[in-house]
Amino acid sequence: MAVVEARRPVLVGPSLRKAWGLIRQLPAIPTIILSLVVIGAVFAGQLAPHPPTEAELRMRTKPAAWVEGGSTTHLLGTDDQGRDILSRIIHGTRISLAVSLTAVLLAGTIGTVIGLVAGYKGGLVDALLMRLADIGLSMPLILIAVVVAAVNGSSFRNVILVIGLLLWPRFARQVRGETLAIKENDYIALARVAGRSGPYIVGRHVLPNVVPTLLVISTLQMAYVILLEGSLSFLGVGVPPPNPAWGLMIAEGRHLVWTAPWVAAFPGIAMAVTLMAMNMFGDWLRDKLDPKLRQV
Amino acid sequence: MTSPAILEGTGLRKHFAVTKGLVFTRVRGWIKAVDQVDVALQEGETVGLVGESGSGKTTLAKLFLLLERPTAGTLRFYGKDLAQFTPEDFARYRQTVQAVFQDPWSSLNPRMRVAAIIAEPLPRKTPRSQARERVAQVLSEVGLSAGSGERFPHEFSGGQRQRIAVARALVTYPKSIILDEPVSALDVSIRAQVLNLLKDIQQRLGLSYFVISHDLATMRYISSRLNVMYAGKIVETGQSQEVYNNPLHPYSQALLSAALPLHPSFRKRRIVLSGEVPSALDPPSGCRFHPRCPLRMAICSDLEPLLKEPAPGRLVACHAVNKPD
Amino acid sequence: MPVEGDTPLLEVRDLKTYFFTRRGTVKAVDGISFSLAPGETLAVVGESGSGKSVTALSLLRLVPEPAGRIIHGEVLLEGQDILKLDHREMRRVRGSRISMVLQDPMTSLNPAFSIGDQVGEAVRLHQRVGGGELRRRIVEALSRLKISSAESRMADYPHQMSGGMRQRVSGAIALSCQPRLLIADEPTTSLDVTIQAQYLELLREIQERSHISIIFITHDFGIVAATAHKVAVMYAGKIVEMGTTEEVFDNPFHPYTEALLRCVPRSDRLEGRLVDIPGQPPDLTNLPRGCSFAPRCPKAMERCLEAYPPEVEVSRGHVTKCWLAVKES
Repeated sequence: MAVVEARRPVLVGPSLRKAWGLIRQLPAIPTIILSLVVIGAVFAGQLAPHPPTEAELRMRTKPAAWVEGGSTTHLLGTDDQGRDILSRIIHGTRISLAVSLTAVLLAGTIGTVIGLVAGYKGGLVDALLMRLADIGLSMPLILIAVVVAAVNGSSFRNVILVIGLLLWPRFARQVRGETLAIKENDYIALARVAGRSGPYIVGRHVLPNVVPTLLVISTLQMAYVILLEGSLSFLGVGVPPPNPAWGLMIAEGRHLVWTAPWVAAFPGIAMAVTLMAMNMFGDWLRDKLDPKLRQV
Repeated sequence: MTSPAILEGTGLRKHFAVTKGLVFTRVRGWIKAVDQVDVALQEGETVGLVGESGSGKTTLAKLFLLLERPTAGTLRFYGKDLAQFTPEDFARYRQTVQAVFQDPWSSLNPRMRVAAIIAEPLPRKTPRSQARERVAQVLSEVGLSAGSGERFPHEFSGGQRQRIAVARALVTYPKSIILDEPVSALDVSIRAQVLNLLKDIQQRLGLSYFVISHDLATMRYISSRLNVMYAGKIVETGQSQEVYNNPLHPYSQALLSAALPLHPSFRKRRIVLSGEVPSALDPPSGCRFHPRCPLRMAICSDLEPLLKEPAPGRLVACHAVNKPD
Repeated sequence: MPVEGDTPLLEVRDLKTYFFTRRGTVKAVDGISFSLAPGETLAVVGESGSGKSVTALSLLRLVPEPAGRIIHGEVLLEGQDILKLDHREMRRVRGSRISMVLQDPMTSLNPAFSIGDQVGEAVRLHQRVGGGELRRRIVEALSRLKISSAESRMADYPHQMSGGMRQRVSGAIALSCQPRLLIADEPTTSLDVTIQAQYLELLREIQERSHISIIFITHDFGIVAATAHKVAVMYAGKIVEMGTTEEVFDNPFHPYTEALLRCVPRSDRLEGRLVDIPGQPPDLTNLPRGCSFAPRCPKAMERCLEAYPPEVEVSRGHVTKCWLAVKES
């Protein structure tokens, strides 16, 4: 009995300490902001003081609590349909994160596969795939989103598909570049000497070494997707109303910009702060991973 | 009749096409990296291949490692022609012929544990326990602790990483190892450690080595037979000590003369070659060495010299040395 | 041959360059002193981590900041302490009075500019000439390094040249303003043997003609034997032995020098068995108390673990830092 108890701290101690050491290295501001965003997204139902689509027509266009005319029941005021802005912003984090995560996952998977194949195979395959990527990059995203929305209606699925299918070239390009660099390493040649096939080498040797770059790109692209989704929603071809997407909220507040600026301003600030935090985090991640890669 | 050599290359050629265009490719010229080379590796011996950049030595190594296929010529493995290999032959080849490369930093995947790196050449269906045991065995062969297997490459120094590379080359019980500049990237004091290790292992396990290097001193220490390469061709070959004591080909002489002295009082008048190593796309006509050769004659720019035997056991490709009878 | 005179060209006194990192303080150069006469070549020999490259950077005050800093010492160039110069004055020294060539000819030259431009950059900066005079000096600089048809070669780009040629262009850039001191950090390590021979021969000729002093940083004793008048052996940031090349080759005192000389295979005769040095080079953030070589030294004594040995003159002009040299009173 006593022997077992004595063993446990030895196992738990070092790994806890290691975890704390890692956490301490994180950049303070971006991490805090992003944690708040994530918490908001996960616990939106519990945290939001009002349901996001509840329209209290009596409380229409009320300003923020600290301005004259505002009240503490609606800390950030209400929009012209009487919906609580704070609650909508909190629920909006869900949308932003969901869309960006899914789109990046989609684009990332397609882009990584294409990048790996292009980089490893080289030659004609590489040239063809990269021309495909060029075509993808030159597509006008907004125009296509508009067309898709016109044909198919605006929906979550359409937004994610459009963004994901048009974002993969960025991943492909970077992954291809990394693959080319990794191919130069002797351990790739040695794997071939050991008799291993191409797919094995790509999966076992190239991909794990591409992961750090992928993490960095993904973080930065997620920020970009949030911005894209915001733009599309603003134009009415993104997430459909009455969802509390930040872009939609800004669009809805457009005609109130002189009389009730907070309706558009607060979601705008939320988006800006989230984007900034993501970019800062992505930059930090890049710096953290890059020189260590060089050192190794 | 001696038993067949482990590896035997006859008339090996490797020409790389220089092309223009991707879909409608047009061949502009050929890089004759390896041009008509005969070389063999017998059991238990260490064959050295010495040459400078552009000599084709690395390409030759790639041919032996099946990383490239010869444009012409035959490669035999225990007498069997590569062109007639079955998949089983290829598998057996991979087990028997292993490699150690120059750069200890890029030879090991930084994201894999040492044990996994070492075990990689083992056949796919090797049971885990057997693989683990073998890894521990080779780790001790190269003088590393058994616990090294759990660590990652970046935790080791350059010399230790090269030992890991050697351990990996030993894991399939090979008969021969092809070493491409095995110690060039290491510190001087570590080089001696690794060279001694290689010698010890060779004796203990009865291996043969095919060593490629530009460093003459290392070659002298480790090789029993020496081939001197220049611009894709072997210009001289023979027993190592004989070639070092009495180099016959003018390029071998210049190479050995260019080697740095080991004492300030030996600052002799060296044979300093003029010019550069020739372009592989457009090599000089006749003997490729003739533009830089102090013994150049009229015939040298017209006719390529063949390897002849001016003294027993010595092959030299040079018109001046092999005087026509 | 070195010119005998009263003022040495370069005098380094107790130079210390440390790197302040999160893992600890790396004492890369820990108190080295030496002098160099005009026309003399000093070889600084050591393995990785010995501090030889950081020494070169320190002399040119190119130590990467803020992590690295020269925290102590004097570097007297023709009597003037260049460590005390301000940035602008130091920039006038670099390239015109002290110059450097590096190991990798691939990255030493900018692939986007012609070699004429790159050689001319230094000349334009320090000698403030232009037009025809500038062209003339560029051709002169290239010819000094035996680059044939310099006039037409000027427009070539680095990728059109071989490694040996590129190294010569680097040399031309370094020597374009006729500096008094050239620091060469392993310039021939990546060159072929025969090209290396050409290059060293070239340097020798240039030194004979212009009495330039050279500090040759290398790990190769062959280069020392071929080119140097004096040699300093470095280990873990300190000079453990220094003297004329003949003296150090014939009578190496410090066990590290001895071991280093013995562990190198020779191309002129068959070696019995190389004597290798067991162990690894020390961790510069965690040097042992006492002599840093003691853990690997075959002749280590009790004393060696307690305190770092002082410098002792073993014979005229030959010094070493080893307890074995310190006579018991």
